[in-house]
Amino acid sequence: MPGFRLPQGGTRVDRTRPLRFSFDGAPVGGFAGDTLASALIASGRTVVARSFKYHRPRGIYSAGSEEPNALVTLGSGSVEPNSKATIVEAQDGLRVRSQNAWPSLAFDAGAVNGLFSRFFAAGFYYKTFMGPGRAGWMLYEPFIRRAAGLGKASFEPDPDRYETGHAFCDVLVVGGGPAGLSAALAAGRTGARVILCEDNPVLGGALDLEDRIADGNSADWLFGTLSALNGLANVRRMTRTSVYGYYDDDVLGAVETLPPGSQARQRHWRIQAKGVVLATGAIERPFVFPGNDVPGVMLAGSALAYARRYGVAVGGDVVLFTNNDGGWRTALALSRAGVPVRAIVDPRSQAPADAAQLLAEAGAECLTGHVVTAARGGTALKSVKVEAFDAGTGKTSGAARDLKCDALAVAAGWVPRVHLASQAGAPPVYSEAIHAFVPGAPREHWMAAGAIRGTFDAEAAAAEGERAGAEAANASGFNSFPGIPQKKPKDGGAAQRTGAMLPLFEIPAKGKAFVDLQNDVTASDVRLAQREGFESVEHLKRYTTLGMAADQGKTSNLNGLSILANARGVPIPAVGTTRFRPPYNPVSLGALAGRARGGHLAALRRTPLHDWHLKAGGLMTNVGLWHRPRAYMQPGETLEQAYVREARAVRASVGITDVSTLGKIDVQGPDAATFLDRVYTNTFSTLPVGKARYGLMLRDDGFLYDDGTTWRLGDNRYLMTTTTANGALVYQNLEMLLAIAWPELKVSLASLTDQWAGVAVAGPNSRALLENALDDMDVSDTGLPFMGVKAGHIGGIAVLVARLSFSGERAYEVYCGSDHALAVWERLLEAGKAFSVVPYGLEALGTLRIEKGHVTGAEIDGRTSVQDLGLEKMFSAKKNFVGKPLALRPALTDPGRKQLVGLRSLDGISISSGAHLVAGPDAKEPGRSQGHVTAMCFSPALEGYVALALLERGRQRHGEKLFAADPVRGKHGPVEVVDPCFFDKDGNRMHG
Amino acid sequence: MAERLSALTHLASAGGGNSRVRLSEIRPGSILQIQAWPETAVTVRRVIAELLGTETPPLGQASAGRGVTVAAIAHGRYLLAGDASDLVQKFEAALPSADAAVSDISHGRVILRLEGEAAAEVLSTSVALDLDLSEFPAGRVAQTMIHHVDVLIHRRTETHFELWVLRSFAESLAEWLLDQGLAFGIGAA
Repeated sequence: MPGFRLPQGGTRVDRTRPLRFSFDGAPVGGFAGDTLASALIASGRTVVARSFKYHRPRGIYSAGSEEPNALVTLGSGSVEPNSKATIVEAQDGLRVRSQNAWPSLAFDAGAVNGLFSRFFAAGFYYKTFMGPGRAGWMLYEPFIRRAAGLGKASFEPDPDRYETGHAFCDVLVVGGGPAGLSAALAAGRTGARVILCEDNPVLGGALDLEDRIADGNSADWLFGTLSALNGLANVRRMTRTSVYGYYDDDVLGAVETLPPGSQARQRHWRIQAKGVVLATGAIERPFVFPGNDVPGVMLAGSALAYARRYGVAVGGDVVLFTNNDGGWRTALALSRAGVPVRAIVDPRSQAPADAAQLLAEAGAECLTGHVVTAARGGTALKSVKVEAFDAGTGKTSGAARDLKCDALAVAAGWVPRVHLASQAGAPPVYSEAIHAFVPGAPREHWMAAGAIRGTFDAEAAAAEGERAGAEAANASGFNSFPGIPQKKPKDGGAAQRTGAMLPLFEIPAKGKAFVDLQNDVTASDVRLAQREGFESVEHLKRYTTLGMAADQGKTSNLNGLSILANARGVPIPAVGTTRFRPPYNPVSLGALAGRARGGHLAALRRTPLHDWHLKAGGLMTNVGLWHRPRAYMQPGETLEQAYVREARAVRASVGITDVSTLGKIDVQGPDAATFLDRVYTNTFSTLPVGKARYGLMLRDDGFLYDDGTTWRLGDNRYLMTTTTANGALVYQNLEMLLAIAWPELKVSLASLTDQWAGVAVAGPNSRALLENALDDMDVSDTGLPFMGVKAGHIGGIAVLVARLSFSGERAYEVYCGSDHALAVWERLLEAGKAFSVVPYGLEALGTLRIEKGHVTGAEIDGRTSVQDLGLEKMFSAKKNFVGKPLALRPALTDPGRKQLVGLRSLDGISISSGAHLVAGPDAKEPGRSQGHVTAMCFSPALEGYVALALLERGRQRHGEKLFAADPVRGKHGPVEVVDPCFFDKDGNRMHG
Repeated sequence: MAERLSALTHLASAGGGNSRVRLSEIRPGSILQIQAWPETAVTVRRVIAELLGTETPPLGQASAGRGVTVAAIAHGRYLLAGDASDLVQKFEAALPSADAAVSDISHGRVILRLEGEAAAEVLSTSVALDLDLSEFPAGRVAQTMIHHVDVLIHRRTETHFELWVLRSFAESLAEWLLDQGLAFGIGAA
């Protein structure tokens, strides 16, 4: 008889609330509080998965996050693969699927791999597909990848909601067992802010698997401790919260899985602690013996957990195999819970007399001096082979006998969960007392308490926790509660729990004995790797995949190590252990992303005219975090038709465009002029009040950094404008210069990018439009000459108007407070009706500037110098400024550098941005790249495709014919090199 | 004079929620930044006290008077928000360039109010600052980030926070906070 639900018991299930989920389409019943695993065992199911490499049938092996076998896929459509059935809470209607099995769990075609298993030994892929003489890895890799991997992700969007949180505390306690609870209570009583994190939905850790703690009943102790914690408002208890990573400065990452039916599925926590108590407990250790992966073989403590927590018997005929006294106690507890125990097998000659007697009375056979040398069965355990064992020689002897059974509970001691301690400390240290690793020296502010240190006795663990909690609180500045007795932990806690353990972990017997069930790594794989020279534990891990994937070797690392040590003939400490990195448990990508997905992926910057653009059919595009309209699309128009229409309208009459995204910086103070002279290549101290000037900034290394116009609004006040892309960077850089380089300058900066909305009004009728719109300003050539700046009003709204031109037309920029932008924009449109004013977008803006050869970020790309772009006239020889010394380097003034040129398409086909300029007319033999295209458009003024480009010695090459090579899009068109200013070279239109 | 249009015209329509926490916009008549020079700090403090009737707070704190808030965000640098719409003109008149720089940012900042018993919890979803009253008492201000957006957080009371943010980011920040606040029953007003 396989597993079944006991008639009573189960502290975590509510038998009045049945539920039903499906597993591979078949209904599985359970109760509220069940895990998938407990319900599956109770339903009598033995196989829940196929193994990774050999597709062997596998059953549930544990009752926690150390589970190597029972990985399942949750959901349909959008799925969550590799979920551990042992920790997922069962929910009504949940769809659960097995993994790695095709066509079905019961019959898996991949199991054929098992027949050829000797070919699939450690390093199979490396040996077969890589290295000299092998046809390329590139050829095989796609096929191997298809066969490999645990579970399959879905291509559907994850419908679940994931949240995030930041938490702070004086003392973080990780683990809610006796040590953790005592630590939280002791720390909490000092008044410190305490957070207690526990993976499970309930507190208590493994205490419910013990009958007694100290001299009392463990349930009473737990009730009392929880009641005391309840009384402390400063202790925050976070159950279902798995702490997965310990980072620098005592920052820890945790994932809280919310109860079924919650609005969100998980919540990621960043916890900043002043001190940490690691009370993460221990994991039971399995034996390595042939057939130790047959469904029905599982950890003994887990078998007891299923009985006590969920009222589930793991079998109707259970054999328990142990090397320590604790295993006998577990056997007795199982028997008392109603789980039929047939036999206890122990390699030691002496069993604990009391337990042995009670078990014998209950009908169990006590086989001391014996070991299990094989587990037999296909999809379910049928029997175990037992042989006599001589602990002196370490050998089996005598006749073997078969014990019929349907479950084998194994108990080979306990392995501390040192993962978090290892992440934030020195390598774990091997303890001879418990034959396992305990935490090394801390690098962060943590203390370990309880089973993580090998203190397996609940009372001793609680005492350690109490002391650690009080000390952690003290270290965070809180005085220990005077009423707490500072008990010294009892020595030999290890012996209390495991009692005189015989350090036998691998049973000498022939057959496929698994070390790592998740990765199908056998004991012989480990030995083979050692023979092939992989003697370092880190190499062993990578060569055999031991300890990788979802369980990170929680049940396999130590057994693998001891086999390696044995093969090398050295003690385990000499082999060392792998270090642990976050995460301790797998963390879903959803939890890491939180709400930063979809529309919330990044913040969106909106200009004050954002809604207007959308309503007017603006085709929006991302410019940094801003959204800006590329063009206002009319029905049936292509983007090119739209921007050409807009650009034509500007040159023919007038258009307006939103330039609110330009960076704007208030530069004020008695030394403002001096400051600007130092940061610009040209001079601003000579700029009269009421005038604007175009300025260039260099980086320290002499390359061009940014450009823009700066307006002098008063003797000690300028309004600097920058490019849209660099607004924040330039502001930060200027603040840095004032704080560090020139603290003596009395200059204050403020970002006004969001204060001022800007509208460019461009075209031959721009002045007429403004005359209509403005209440009180003379915009004649004398009233507002070229580069003049003036304050006035539009409809009573205060505005600044500057006569600037980016388009080459007569043009103005109108600035107003952002909250007034819509009103000003609409008044400008109204005032321009008589001139058929059009709003224009980024593409038309770009077209107009390309026709004039004006540069933008496409040309000021961090690799160009002042000379490259023909801006030498703005490079002052009379003063020093940021970047000047290095701008004079020969390399930056070399006449062979790429220089700004214009290109005309000679075949009437568009020129691609990013295309390379080559001499070869044949796309197959293009010759070397001599330059590249930075910007292109269809020019309505020239009625053809034109572009700007950077070309070696470009200024000397006007008139030359080259080819714009764009192999990605299959274009290779002839172009003529021309002056970058295509249109109105004399500037007659701009000056009107 | 045309009416000023809020950057958060869509916020009010969000509505909903319970009374545990609400998000709304404060619309001061003026917002400005004042930067004193090293030797004029005393003068600036005096002028602020005279014009607003409130003492300037120490660095990292804000003081709130009647219809006015003053936050000290750096040495000699103050952010002011007030109901009156003429504060910039008043301070420019009182503080010539030799004494201080006065920058008008009335249109450039939006101030969001997050108020209710769950306000700190809502912020803690996104702010990596310890908002426990013992660490972040009423009156504190801090410049930090929420989802990559620069924000000045001012705690007025245990349950009342004000968030100063660049206007262009305001709607996005409000959308973010309304989403983060779902679990706490956030509503907009």
